[in-house]
Amino acid sequence: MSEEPDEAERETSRGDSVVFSVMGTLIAGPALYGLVGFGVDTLAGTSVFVPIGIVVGFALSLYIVYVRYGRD
Amino acid sequence: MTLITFAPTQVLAGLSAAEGNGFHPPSLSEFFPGQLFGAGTWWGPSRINLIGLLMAGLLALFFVSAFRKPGVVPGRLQMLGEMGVTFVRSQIIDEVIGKQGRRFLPYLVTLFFMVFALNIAGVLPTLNMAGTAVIGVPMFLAGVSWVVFNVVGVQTHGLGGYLRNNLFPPGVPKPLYLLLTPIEAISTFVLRPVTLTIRLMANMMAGHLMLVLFFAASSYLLFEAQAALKPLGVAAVAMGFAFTLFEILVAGLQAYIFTLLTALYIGGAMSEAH
Repeated sequence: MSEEPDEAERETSRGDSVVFSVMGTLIAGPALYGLVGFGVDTLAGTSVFVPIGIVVGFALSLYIVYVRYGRD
Repeated sequence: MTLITFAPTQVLAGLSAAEGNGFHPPSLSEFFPGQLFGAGTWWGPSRINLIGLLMAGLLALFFVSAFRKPGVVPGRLQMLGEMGVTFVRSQIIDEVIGKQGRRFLPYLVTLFFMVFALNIAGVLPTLNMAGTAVIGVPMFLAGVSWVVFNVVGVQTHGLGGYLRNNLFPPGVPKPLYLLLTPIEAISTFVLRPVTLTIRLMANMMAGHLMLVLFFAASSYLLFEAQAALKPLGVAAVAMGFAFTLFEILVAGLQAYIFTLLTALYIGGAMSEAH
C-alpha cells in the first residue's frame, strides 16, 4: 500500500502534466480568432483584424487556463 | 559498449550519404523512401514500414517470451518485462489517473513500448530510422488515444455530460461561452491528437536529421576534405556520438510523454470537471 501515491503527490504530478495539456488551449485561441480576423480582413479589405484576433484569442485562452487550472 | 557497437554502421551510413562529389546534407527525402517491393501498389512497403513491422514483431516476441511461463521467482526476461509494466503502472497510471485507471494498463503499456521500440530504431545499427519519424504511425497512435479518451468520457458522463465538462468551463459568465466554447472544442477534439502526432514525429524527424548530418559531415571531413579540415571531422564524430546518446534519451522521453498525455486525457475524461 505504501507504494500508492497519495492524493497530494498525484495532484503535483497532474500539475506537471497539465503544462503539456494547456498547450492545445493556448494554440487554439490565437489560431481560431486569428482565422476569424483573417476572414474579416479579407471581406472588409483591412489588415488589422488578424493581429486583433490573435491577441483576443490568446487572452481568451489564458482565461480558460485560469478558469480550468488556476482557481483550484 | 553501446558506442562501439553502433558507431561503425552509423559512420558507414553517413559515408554513403556523403560519398563522393562533396558534402550532401540530409534532406526530407530521407523520410519518403521508395517502395521496396510491390511498387505502385497500395500495400508495397517502404524501408520505414518494414522497420516498424520489425520493431513491432521484436516487441511482441519480447513480451511473449517474458510472460509465457511466468514464475514466482522471475527469470531475467520476466523481470525486465515486469519492470516495464510496473513503470507504466506506478509512474504514469497511478500518478496521473489513480487506481481506477489500472484497467487501461494493457493499452498504455502497449502504447509506451510501441512508441519506444519504434523510436529506438532510429539509433539501432543498420536500421538508423525511427518508425515514428513518418507521420502515419504517430497519427494512428494519436487517433487510437483520441478514440479511447472520448469513449471513456462518454461512458463515464454520458454524451451530454462529457461535452458539458469539456466545452463549458465552470464559473464563467454565460455570454462568454460564445467565445470560449469554440476554443475548447478545437483544443480538446482537434489539437490534442494533432499535438500528440506532431510532437512525436517532429522530435524523431529532427533527431534523425541531426544524426545523419553529423555522421555525413564527419565522413566527408575525415575522408574527402582537405587535411586542415580533418580535426573538424573528429569533432563531428564526437557530436554524432553525443547526439546518439541524446537520441536514446529522447526515444524514452517521447514515449513517456506520449503515454503520459494519453493517461492525462483519459484521467480528465473520467474526472467530474477539469
